[in-house]
Amino acid sequence: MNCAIRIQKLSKEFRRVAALADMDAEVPDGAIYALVGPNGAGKTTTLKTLMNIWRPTRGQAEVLGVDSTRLSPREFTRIGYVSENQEMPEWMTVAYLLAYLKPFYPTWDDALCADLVRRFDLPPGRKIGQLSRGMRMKAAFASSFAYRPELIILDEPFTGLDALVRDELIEGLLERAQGATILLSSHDLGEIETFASHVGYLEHGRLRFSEEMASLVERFREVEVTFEAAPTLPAAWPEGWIQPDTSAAVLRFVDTRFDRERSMSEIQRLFGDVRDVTFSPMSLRSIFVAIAKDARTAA
Amino acid sequence: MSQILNIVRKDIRGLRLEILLVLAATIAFIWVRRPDWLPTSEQAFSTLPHLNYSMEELLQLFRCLLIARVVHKESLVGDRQFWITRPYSWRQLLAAKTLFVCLFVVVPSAVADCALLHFARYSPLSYVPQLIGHQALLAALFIAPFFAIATVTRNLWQFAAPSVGLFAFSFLLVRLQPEAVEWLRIPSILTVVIVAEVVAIVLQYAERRVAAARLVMIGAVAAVAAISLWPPPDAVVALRYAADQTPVNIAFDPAPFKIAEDFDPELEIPVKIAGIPESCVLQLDGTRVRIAAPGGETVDSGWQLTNFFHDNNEGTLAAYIDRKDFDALKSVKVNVRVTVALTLLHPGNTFTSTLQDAPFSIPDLGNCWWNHDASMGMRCVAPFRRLPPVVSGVTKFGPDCISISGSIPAPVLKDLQAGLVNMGKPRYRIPWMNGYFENISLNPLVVDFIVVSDNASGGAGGWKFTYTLCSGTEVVVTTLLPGARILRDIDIHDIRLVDYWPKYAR
Repeated sequence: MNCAIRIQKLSKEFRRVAALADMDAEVPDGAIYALVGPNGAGKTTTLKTLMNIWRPTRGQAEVLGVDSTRLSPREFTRIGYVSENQEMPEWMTVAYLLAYLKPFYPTWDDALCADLVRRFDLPPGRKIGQLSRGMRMKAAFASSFAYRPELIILDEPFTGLDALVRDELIEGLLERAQGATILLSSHDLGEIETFASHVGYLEHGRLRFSEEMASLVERFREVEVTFEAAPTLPAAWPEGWIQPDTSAAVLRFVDTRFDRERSMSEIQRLFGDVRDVTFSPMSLRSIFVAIAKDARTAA
Repeated sequence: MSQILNIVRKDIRGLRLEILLVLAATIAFIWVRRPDWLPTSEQAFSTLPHLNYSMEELLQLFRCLLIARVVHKESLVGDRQFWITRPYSWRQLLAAKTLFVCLFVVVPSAVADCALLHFARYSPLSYVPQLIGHQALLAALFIAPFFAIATVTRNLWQFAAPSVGLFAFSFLLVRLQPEAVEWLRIPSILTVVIVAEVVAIVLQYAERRVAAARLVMIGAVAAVAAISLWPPPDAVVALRYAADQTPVNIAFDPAPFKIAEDFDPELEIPVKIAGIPESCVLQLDGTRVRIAAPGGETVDSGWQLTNFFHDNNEGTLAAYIDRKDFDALKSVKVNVRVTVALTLLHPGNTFTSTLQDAPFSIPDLGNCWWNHDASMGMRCVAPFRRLPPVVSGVTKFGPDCISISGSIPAPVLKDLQAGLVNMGKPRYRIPWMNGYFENISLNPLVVDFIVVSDNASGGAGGWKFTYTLCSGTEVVVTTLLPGARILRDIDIHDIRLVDYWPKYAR
C-alpha cells in the first residue's frame, strides 16, 4: 500500500512534557484521514511535526516519501496546509495574495483559482485583515487548493465557523479530494463522519487506534441486554466491553470489538439466558464519547 | 531569481510608507549635514533646527524600522506564519530580504555619501573604495545587528526592547571603553560582531533555531563587553611595540611634582625625556600604571589615553586610579610601574595657504574654511577620515588681524625644522581623542577644527592663544606621519603615594 504519510514511533516533547508519544500511523494515498481527539491530545502537534514546523524529539515521519525534517520547497509545492490559527498576510488583498503565491507553484491552475474565488464568493479587492473568520478560511483554502496539491493537511479547519461556511468548505474540500490525500484534525465529529475514509484517535499524546472509518463504525455497538431480574456483573469483564451501566433489569455497555455471533455467545456465556439483546450502531461522536469516558474512568 | 524578485516586489508593496520615510529622512539628512560654509541664511541649521541635532538618530531609527518590518514580513519566530508551509527556499528568502535592504537602506546611504561628498566639493568617483568600505562598515555595525535582532523577534514590540538595549550598550561601550588599545579591541569586536550576526541570521533562515540564534547574539554581546573591559594581554601589547629601535628614553623625574591643587585622583608623573630624533614629536598611545604594595595588593589603572605634555627634555604623564585604591595604599611604601606606549611622529608634508573668505583646499587635510567669529582656527572637512596630526602656525598676518597677546613669534615651520617644536608646548595637534566607534558615523564627512596659533602654550596654566586669523593671513600646516612604536616601562621604587601626590590625601 502506498502511503502519503508514514509515521514511526514519533514523539514530541516540550520541556520534558510529552505532547506526542511513540505514534505509529499510516495515511494511504487517496485517503481522507481524520485525526480526532480531545483538546490537548496532540493533534496539532502531530500536524506541525509532519510539516516540519516543529522537529520531533524521537522517531520519524515520512511525508510524500521524504523525511519530515527534510521537507524542501519541492515537497511544499505538492502540499496544501491550512490551520485554523494560521497568520495570514493581513495587508494583502485576496487577489494579491493569490497572485503573489502563484509563482511559487509550477502546477498553479488559474482557472481553478478563479473557480475557487467564485465558489467561495471571495471579494478579490478586500484586504485579508478585513475579512471575517469564515472568509479568511476560504481565502486560505483557495490559496492552498489552486495548485492541485497531492497532499492536503488541515488543522481544525472548521472550528468556529458557521454551518453554511462549513458546508461550503467541506464541499470544496471534497471536490479537491479526487486524486489528493487529505489529513485533517477536527473536533467536528459529526461532519467528519460524513466524508472521512480513515480515522485516528489521539488521547494524551498517544494514538489509541487508527483505522478505516467503515471498520471502526462496524466494530462499535451499543449493546442493551434485558434480564428477567437485576443482573450481577461478572468479576471477569470482557476486555472489549466498556462503559457498563445497569439499570433495574437492563445492562448497557459498548462493545468495541463487535461481531454479532461472538458478542452474542459471550453474553450467553456470562449471563445465561437473557430476555432480549439489542445491538445499536453508534455515531462517531458516540464512539469517541464512550472511549473518552472509559479513559477517564480508567485514569 | 524570479522568486527573489517576487518576494521583493511584495515587500515593496507592503512597506511603501516605511520606504518613503527612510527616503525622506535620507534627503533631510543630506540637507542638514551639508558642510556649513554656505552663507548663514542658506544653512540647514536655520531651516531645520530641531532635526539638526538628531538627524543621524532619526535616520537610523527609520532604517531600523524598515529592516525590522521587512524581516518580520516573513517572521522567523513562531509556528503560525502562513509562509512556513509554502515553498520558500531559505536562500532565496534571505537573498530577497538582503536585496530589499540593499535597495532601500544601503543604496540611499551610498547616494547620501556621494551627495555629501559633492556638497563638500569632493568627487565621489575619486572615493569609490572608501564609499564601498564605509557602506560595508555601516552594514556590519548599523544594519546587520538590527537585521539579526529582527530575525529572532516576532514583531516590532519584541524588536524594540533588544534594539534599545543594543543602543544603550553601544553608548556605554563608547563611554566606558578605555581608549588606548583600540588597535586591538576594534578588530576583535568587529570580528565577534560580524561572525555573530552571520551565524544568527543563517541559523534562523536555514533552520529557524530561535533559541540558538538568540544565544549566539547574547554571547556576542557578552564577548564584546569582555573585550572592551578586560585589559589586553601584556604579550599582545609587547608584540605590537616589539620593533622599537629608537633611542627615545623616558625616565622618572624624582623632583616633587608641583601643580595646582586638584581633587581628581590623577597621578601626574614627571618624566625626563631624551633621544627624540630631530624634527620628531611623540604621540601618546596609552599609559598604564600598576602599583604593588608590600602586602601583595596591586592596583592596575588599565590602559588610558590621557594628556602628555612634553618637550624634548621633560614632560608629564598622567593616569587615573580609583579613589579607594589611592586611599588604601597612600600611606605604605609601594612600587609603581608606569608603562607608556608611544608613536614617534615625523614631519610629513608642509603646506602654506593664504586664508580667503571662500573655502580653500589644503592637501592632506581637506577643504577648509575659517569663521570670522572664531578667528583662532579653521575647520577642515575630509571624507572618510579624521585629519592627521598636524603642527600649524602663521607666517604672515593679514592686514586686518588683531593679535590679542601682542606677541609676534617666529614661524612654526622654522621651529619644527629646528627640532624645537613638540606636541605639548607651543603647538597644537588634532588628537585622536575620541573612541573609535564615535568616528563611525552615517556621515562620510569628518569635520575637524584646527587651532592655528602662533604662540599657544599648554601645561599647568592651561592654553594660551594668539588670535591672529583674518583674511590674508598665511597659514603653515605640517602633517605628522606615524613612525616607530615605542613601549617603555618606568619603575618607581619605595615611594608613598601621599608623599608624592599629597594633594589627594584626605
